[in-house]
Amino acid sequence: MLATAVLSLAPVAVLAQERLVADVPDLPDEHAAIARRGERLSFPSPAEYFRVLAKATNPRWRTWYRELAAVPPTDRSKVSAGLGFLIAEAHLAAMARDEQRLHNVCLELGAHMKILGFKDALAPVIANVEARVLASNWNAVHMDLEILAAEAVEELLRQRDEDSARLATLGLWMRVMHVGSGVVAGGEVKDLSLAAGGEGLPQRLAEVAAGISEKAKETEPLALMMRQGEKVARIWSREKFEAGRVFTVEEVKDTHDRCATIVSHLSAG
Amino acid sequence: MFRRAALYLAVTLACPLAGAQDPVPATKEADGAKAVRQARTLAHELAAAGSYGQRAALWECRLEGDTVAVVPVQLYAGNTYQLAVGFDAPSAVVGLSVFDARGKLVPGVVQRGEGRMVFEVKPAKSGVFSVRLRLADEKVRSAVAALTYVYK
Repeated sequence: MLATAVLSLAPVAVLAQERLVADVPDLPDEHAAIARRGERLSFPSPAEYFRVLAKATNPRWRTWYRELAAVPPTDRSKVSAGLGFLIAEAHLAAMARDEQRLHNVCLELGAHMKILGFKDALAPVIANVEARVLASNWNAVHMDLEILAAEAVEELLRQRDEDSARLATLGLWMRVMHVGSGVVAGGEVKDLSLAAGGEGLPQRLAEVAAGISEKAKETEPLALMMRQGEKVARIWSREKFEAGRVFTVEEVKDTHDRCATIVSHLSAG
Repeated sequence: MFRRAALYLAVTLACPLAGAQDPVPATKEADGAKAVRQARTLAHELAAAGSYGQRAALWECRLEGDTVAVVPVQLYAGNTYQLAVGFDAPSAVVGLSVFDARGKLVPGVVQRGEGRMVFEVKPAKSGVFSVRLRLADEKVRSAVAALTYVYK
């Protein structure tokens, strides 16, 4: 996987070009069904989402920083979600081209990974991120952060801790959506659905959350996360998109507040 | 693999398929590795040449006969995407179509090379798109395909 980093920079080979002929019929229902149940490359990279926001408005990324905790939480569910928050924080710092902030976030990531028991295993990925930062290779920073998120999930699954793996994913996207909805609410963004990361993303997050064990879901702060997350998914339901519903600034602000509540409660020591 | 994929953050993802022959044989590691290398190299070249951001996530599966693979991909209006596909069989010809969230065909430009292809798309709306792949030539009836993309 990390071999991607050392692939040659050979020029793109000459490829025969053709314009897609538009005689292909609509996607048949049976193929759409496969897509719906299929595994997803459909979770975007946070960087991809932030770039769209950057084109739509001119976000001042640094104003969205959160203060880094002096001491990581002790509750494992909060540490797992916190790992996701921090990866989002690192993407944010990369958008702001902020070397010092990324270094600080990487230190905090290390502390979280130590508690979760895989600091050594992922140390090379963190080192890669830091090296890319020093080289100001911001695209590669985002890519390495994507690898870090995927490998953290892998490590948690290897520990047979699926709840924590899901929480790391949810933490990442709750924080990304928290920033995104705030940017959309405060800027002149034409497509308000960007506040929720685009059509379908809240539903996929709800699916990830639904897989958390029932026992864990009943305890706070996860119970709160479930309640707030379900409301966000309802605001941005597929039915509303299919009906061509125009979303409102109030819905964007509501989404932002709910994401803020989740992030805040899952961060508190 | 399926458990990992359910968390949507796996770097290599399994593929959903439909077709006459089910179940589809599992991908052999060696075959998959070649297709993955082709897709990653192509994506890396595209990213370097056009200042694109590159995804680490990658999807792969074996296409057999008339089977169809459909990969859901979240795309954003305002971004330009180049879907990079690699195959283990250099002479394989793969038909690639992209459909929007309502199942409508999305126009784009295809570039083909030996064992690789690129599909450039600029979505008009954000959402989950379906990338459909199938073997389009009678000569090669089985090939591993790998898909990733770059964006800007």
